[in-house]
Amino acid sequence: MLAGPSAADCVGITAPALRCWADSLLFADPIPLRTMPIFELLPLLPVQHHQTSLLPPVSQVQIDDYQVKLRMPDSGIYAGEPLDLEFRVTDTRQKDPVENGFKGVGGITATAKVTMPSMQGMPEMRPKVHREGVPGDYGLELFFPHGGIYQIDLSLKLPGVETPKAVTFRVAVKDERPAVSKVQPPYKLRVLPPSSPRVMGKSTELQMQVVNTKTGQVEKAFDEAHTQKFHLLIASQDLNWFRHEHPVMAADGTWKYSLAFPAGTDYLVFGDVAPQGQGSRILASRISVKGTKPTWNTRIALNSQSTDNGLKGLFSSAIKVKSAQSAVLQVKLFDSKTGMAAGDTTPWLGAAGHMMIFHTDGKTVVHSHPQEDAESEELVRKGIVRFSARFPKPGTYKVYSQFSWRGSIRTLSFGLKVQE
Amino acid sequence: MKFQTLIFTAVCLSVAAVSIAHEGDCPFCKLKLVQNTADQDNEVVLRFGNKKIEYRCIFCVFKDQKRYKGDLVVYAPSEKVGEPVILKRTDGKWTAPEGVVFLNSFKKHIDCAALSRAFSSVAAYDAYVKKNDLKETKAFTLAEFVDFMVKPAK
Repeated sequence: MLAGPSAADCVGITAPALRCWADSLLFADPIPLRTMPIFELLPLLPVQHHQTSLLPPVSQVQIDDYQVKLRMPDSGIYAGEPLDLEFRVTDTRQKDPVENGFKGVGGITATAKVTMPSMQGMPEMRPKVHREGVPGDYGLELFFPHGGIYQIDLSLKLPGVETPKAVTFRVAVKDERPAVSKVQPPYKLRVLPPSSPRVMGKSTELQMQVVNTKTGQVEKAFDEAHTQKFHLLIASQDLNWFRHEHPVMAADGTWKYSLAFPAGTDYLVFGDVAPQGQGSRILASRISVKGTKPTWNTRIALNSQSTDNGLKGLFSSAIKVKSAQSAVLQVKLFDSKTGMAAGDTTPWLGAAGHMMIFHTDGKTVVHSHPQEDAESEELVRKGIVRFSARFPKPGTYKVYSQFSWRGSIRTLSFGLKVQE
Repeated sequence: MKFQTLIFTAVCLSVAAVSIAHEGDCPFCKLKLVQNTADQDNEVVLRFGNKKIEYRCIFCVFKDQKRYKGDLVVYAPSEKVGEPVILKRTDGKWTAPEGVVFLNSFKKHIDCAALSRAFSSVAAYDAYVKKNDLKETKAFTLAEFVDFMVKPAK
């Protein structure tokens, strides 16, 4: 394998620097990444590749006479934990009278925007920025819902400087760590108790609220993600029954959806939501339904073929999927009657396909969409839909992928074992 | 390399609350720290070596100073956003920039962040007193303020 640059060699967030960083991840020469098909590229990834465990290549930016530096925690940044991430703005023309280094610039009015470049459909986060007590020190109130590479854009209005300064950082966020410290997430999904017990086969109205855990208030303002403000994902406890629906919100912030459950068991209820300005996240709850036990097989089959109403899918990955790693998952679609590639799927909810992936722990969920670019669209026309996913822990996952094909939504289900 | 759109979330169903760092309690009075606002700084920062400790007001800092053996720097919120008054304790002796005065007139400690503050000048002090309609206040010099702080409570 060829030796490439290390992440530390790559300075800045310019296109060449990012390219340099990507190359460093691959430990390879600067291969023309954009022109190389991903399924040929992926085998180059080293086995120990841990994309999100790397710190960002740069956490310091110089603009004119000012330096802006993120204070990254020594242990890195983890998903699922509220974080007050400090940054310091200094004037390089003066020494600070107390702190080491350049003089801190106090009194800045700042705004921030956080996005994931790899997640085109994810609503942006607009975290609060506050001044700390030391001039030049500021804090960003962040919560990263999942691991990956995030971009932080700051707009800094410096005292006496007319035009705001724009600063961009990229940070690597690690997957959620085991509960070494018990952290209260900013939001929770509350499923209101039903007026009478939920019984299988009988229509019941699910009433759900997204609650701000700090204030206790019910959230009423949401950003849209893939044309909807609430993606309701319901799975039986064994994960072998699944629905993806879109409830309607009442004026008081209660989301409602009526459905009949097929068996008496526990069900996992997930709300994929983006509280206004806070970015996407999946909130989990659980309900019980009375009735006879499921008649379906409650074990998860590790199948790679699935058919729904004439649409057949073959599920594969380019490399062996490992935990804490990004993987490209592919569904190759066919018309099961003719055996021809099904290149005539149409976008649904703003995407060529949707993939929901559930770990058997009932807590870990992946919701993935294909890239929205010409290359991906070309593949879709050949019946090939590719998704990217990160698996934070080893174990068995149930995979549901959904496509709009010839007038209705087809749901294909697969099983996947992820190794350490 | 093209990464495709991804939404992933891991969630824990059973959790307990913690708060993020800048929303802590004052180490002296144990009340919540008062956050800076758009037009007024409130956070008092004590620097001891490489450590930075946030206090609710300068009263709390001076009352708690004995626990630190060595030199101290205190960033005391002033009338100017982002420009605190810098107080220093060197070899046990407190110093402040020329002209600095102090307000210390709270009756209940809950009001300390608003009524135990430093100002870069008497004029700034007067403006604050007028704006907040404060009665029976006095602009303490540093020497008076330090003296007041070390006096035993009656």
